[in-house]
Amino acid sequence: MPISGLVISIDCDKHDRQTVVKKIDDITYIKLGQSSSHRIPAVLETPSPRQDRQTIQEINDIPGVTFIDVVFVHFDQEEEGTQNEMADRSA
Amino acid sequence: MKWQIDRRDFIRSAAMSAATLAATGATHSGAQNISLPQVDGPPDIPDVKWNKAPCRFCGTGCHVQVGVDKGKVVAIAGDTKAPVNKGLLCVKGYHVGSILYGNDRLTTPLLRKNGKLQPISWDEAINVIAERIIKSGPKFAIYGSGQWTIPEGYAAQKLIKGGLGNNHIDPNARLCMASAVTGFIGTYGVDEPASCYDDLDVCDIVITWGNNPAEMHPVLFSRIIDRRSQGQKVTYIDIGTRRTRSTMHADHYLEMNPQSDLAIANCIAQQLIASGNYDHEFVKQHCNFRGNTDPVSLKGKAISFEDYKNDIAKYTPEYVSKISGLSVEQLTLLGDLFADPSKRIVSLWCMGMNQHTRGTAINTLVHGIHLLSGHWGKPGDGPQSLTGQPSACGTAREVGTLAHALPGGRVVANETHRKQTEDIWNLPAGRINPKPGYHTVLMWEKFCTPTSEGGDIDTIWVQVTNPGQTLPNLHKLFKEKANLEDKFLIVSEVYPTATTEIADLVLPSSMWVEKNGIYGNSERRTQQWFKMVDPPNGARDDCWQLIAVARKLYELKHPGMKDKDGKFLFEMSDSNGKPIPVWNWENYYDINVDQVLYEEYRKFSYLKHKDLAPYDVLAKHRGMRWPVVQGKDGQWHETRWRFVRGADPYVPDDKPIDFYHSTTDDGKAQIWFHPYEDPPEMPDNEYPFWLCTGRVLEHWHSGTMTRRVKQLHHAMPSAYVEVNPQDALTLNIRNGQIIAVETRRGSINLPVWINGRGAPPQGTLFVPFFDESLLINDITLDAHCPISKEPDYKKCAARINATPNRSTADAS
Repeated sequence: MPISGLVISIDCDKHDRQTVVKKIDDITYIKLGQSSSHRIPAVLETPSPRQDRQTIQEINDIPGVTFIDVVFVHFDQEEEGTQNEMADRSA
Repeated sequence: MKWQIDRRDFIRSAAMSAATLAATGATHSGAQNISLPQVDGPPDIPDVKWNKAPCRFCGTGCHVQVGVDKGKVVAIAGDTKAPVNKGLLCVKGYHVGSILYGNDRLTTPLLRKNGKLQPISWDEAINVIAERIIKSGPKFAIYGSGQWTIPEGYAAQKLIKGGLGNNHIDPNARLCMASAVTGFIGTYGVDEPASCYDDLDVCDIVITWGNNPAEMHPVLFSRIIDRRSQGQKVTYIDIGTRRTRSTMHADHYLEMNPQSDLAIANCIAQQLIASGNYDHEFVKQHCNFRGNTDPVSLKGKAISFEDYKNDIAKYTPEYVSKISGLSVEQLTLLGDLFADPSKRIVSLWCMGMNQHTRGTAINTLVHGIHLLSGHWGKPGDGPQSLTGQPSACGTAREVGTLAHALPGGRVVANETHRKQTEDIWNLPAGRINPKPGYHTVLMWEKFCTPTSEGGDIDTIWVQVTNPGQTLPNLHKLFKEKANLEDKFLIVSEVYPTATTEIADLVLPSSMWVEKNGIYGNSERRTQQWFKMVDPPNGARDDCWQLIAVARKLYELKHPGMKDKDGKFLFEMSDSNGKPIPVWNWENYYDINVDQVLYEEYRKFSYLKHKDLAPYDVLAKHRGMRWPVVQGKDGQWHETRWRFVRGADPYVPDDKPIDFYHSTTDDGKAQIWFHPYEDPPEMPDNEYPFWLCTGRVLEHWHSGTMTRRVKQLHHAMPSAYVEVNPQDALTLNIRNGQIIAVETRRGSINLPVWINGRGAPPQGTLFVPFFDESLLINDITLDAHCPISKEPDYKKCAARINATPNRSTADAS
């Protein structure tokens, strides 16, 4: 269960900020922080790396979201032994 | 359990703090006007100790804070005190800590015996290399990269050029930014950008030339997007051969025919000259004109303004429209923008202009239009090349790990330069060989040619790169080695790769924060970090490996391993003068070897006004941009813009601009004319498609690190071929279908992605190169720029066959 700190940038010129923020806030696994600017701090905590990826894509797909910066990540204990899924090329 | 819950709460809180800090304060464009929240360090998590390091991946040079607990990297945070990224990271940077922990780290030296790699001791491995070097003599070569740290590259240089009198050393940077180097030298007489990233914070217009920074340099790109989000007007023009994620943000997308960037640059110059809207005073005071010789050369020949005007005259918008595919209006738009002195224009480029059979030419032409128009040398106004590797600039270019170069901008062919180098290295006169070694393509071609047929490289030692995946035309330049019994390949690596697969000796290496290091990024910023965790038991530093081999050669009485006083080349002592046998692994960290090597190397940096800061000063900064000079106040000051009075300490007070390394010795830069020429291979009836290769956001280069990070691997698990929807319709192929992509060099089976991540125009294919199971470089072209020797991975002729080729690997 990785925990990430995100900064989500919104295009406030062409989109209504409140509407975009609401759509992000509706996404499971996301907790938004306080901000009144075009950059929204958020914490993403998902049950799996796959969900992690899907959630980031879901945020990216919201009209008005221009960029997602990741500023913090913590590797969970079970993440440490990252599986190598490539072909075994042992001698 | 209670502790775990508390700890996760802490981590959540730390994640939100980091995000809030970045969101509220650390915006790039506003940085000069915003008082950043004062924080003393990264998130506070119990038991986690933090330290700074540059990211391991691209040339942007973002700094991360690395959190270590119980000897392992457990967290990564963007470094809010880092000027490059101000706390932000891209998806790769955010996962950089995980690259250390793939479960197939190499931990034992392996020697091929009876066709199989067998574990051996480090002593035996070092001995094998030393004996092989003695046996090979001038047939030995070293192949490194822009991922070598500065001390590693310097040690390799000293070993081979200073110790062995052999110049066969080249970095993979030859495949990456060699054309940028020759472009800078041809224009200014000295390598590396005069400008810096600060330009992105104040420019009015950004033009990318065959460049996709949204995926390749995302943190830099976010500086531009961030300004727009704040309501600032930044016009972005994307000149490219395929739509990318960057294009989504462009005000103008100019889709050009491959290779026609040369004609487009000439067209901008033609319009400036024809309208009289070039910067007459800037050109008169600061520029000369230069044309080609036959054969072409880096220095070319002087031409007059009238010659230049005549040469450029035919490149009218109407004429170039036919070559480039751009409309006359699009070409006029570019001409008008450069003619407007009130606008500040940044040109950005990376592999699109560098991996080009006319790479040197297009680099000099883009510098030329900035010079001609006077869009040069002011904040927000100038050309800026980007690099793909974290120390392509710091190590490959500045340390000069190229076949013709010596540290500090010296070259082996120059007697004075050889003497300067021999003096610093305390070598007997004549030790350094005046003949340049083989550049990358030639080195590997010689290695893969039978010795009896002139293949006069028989041993290559590879460090920190993966040529078995990244060389072009792999069958010719790499795989043929497997059939040549007398050729010997040594590979220092952290994971099994396409290169270790046919290696004869594999050495397990430490990586990133498992060792001390120094990198130099794309804006001349030198960045230092300290070792934070131990490598896996059995893995050892690349720099130690080089020194240990040198010591073994010394013990075997190789005469080159002694300086002119009879001392070992890498003799080192502690602060009390006590000799430290750093060639013994158990003693390697008794002193800071990086510091010793760096301080010796730093002497070279003064020879070409690339002055580096002392190691102790670097250790206190998130990198410093050279030239770094000490002021009267005792402080060390970096340089943001070179050759400009007030910004560059080497420009005298009586000159607003001084190109003090001018190739014409008159303080002037060179505006070149190069004609448009067709590429060596173009689509025809037999091979009707253009094939372009490149990178994707999630993976860094050959994927050996990022494909071992679960999140990144799942996000982009395998290679594919992007196909235009109309082409797919015409050929009756569907998404996900396995097809054969064929060139004159072979065939590869790939799944189709109609449009894909980018959107290729009709008649164009795109394939990323990160996937070692689908080696697109089996079929790319090894033709290269005649000056930089950099191959063109961006364009060759291809065809597609809806029926996969049975003789190639299954792509499913």
